Amino acid sequence: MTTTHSLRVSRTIRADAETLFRAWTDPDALRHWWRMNEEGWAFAFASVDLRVGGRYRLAMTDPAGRTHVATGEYRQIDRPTRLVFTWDWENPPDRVGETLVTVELRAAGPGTTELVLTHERFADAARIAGHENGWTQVLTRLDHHVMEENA
Amino acid sequence: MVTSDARLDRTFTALADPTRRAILRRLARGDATVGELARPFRVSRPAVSKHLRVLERAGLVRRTREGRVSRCALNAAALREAAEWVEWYRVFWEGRLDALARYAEGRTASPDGGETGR
Repeated sequence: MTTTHSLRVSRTIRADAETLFRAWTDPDALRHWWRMNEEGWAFAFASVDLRVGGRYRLAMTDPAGRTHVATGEYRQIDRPTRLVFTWDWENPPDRVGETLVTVELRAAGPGTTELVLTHERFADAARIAGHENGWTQVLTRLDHHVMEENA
Repeated sequence: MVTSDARLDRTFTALADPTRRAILRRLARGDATVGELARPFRVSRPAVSKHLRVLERAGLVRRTREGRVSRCALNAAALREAAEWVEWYRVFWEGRLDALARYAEGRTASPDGGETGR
């Protein structure tokens, strides 16, 4: 049960890599797409410190008016082809440990870019699905996370 | 987590507390009474009962009464649901990339139409 769980989604988008890179990293661009598609959701705010080790906060508001802030640290910035950042939610009940998001942008034709997003380090969640033994590991790992947060 | 599934929220809230995780770890080894659970944790029975209520509401623990004693058991199904978290993220990112594509393509395809991502 040591494998890292990950998921990958991709889109081919009719825009160049620079436009898409900017869409991920410029608050003025993020405000146009960072929210749920469902009725009642709205962009709240975005702050971006675009350097390795710099942090971001991306917030959206749900129909009940609650703000959900995603936050993390930039780990790798290769404009305009690759962006790697840690990811977690800020609200304590939502937090389940740090995960890693990689956004890759590859030219797929004139003015067209393939975006591949990988989200990994779901070891906790993957183990949760496991048997009793896996369970114990999950809970121990969660303990470590909490201790690190309190340290 | 941004989710309309209140039950999954409750699961993660329940898991966020170290005493409750310790209780679950104990129950992963086998059923126990409230008294048996209270003993190693150096907390009062009412405090353990309070934690158990949170775990019960999250569906992580089932309690059955045998006379005056109530026995607690782990409900692994609720944890499996937590694993669907991964699936939740898949849907989440698909949605975000749809919105990003609409925004970015709207910008390039119809410069005079303004930005579509409103």
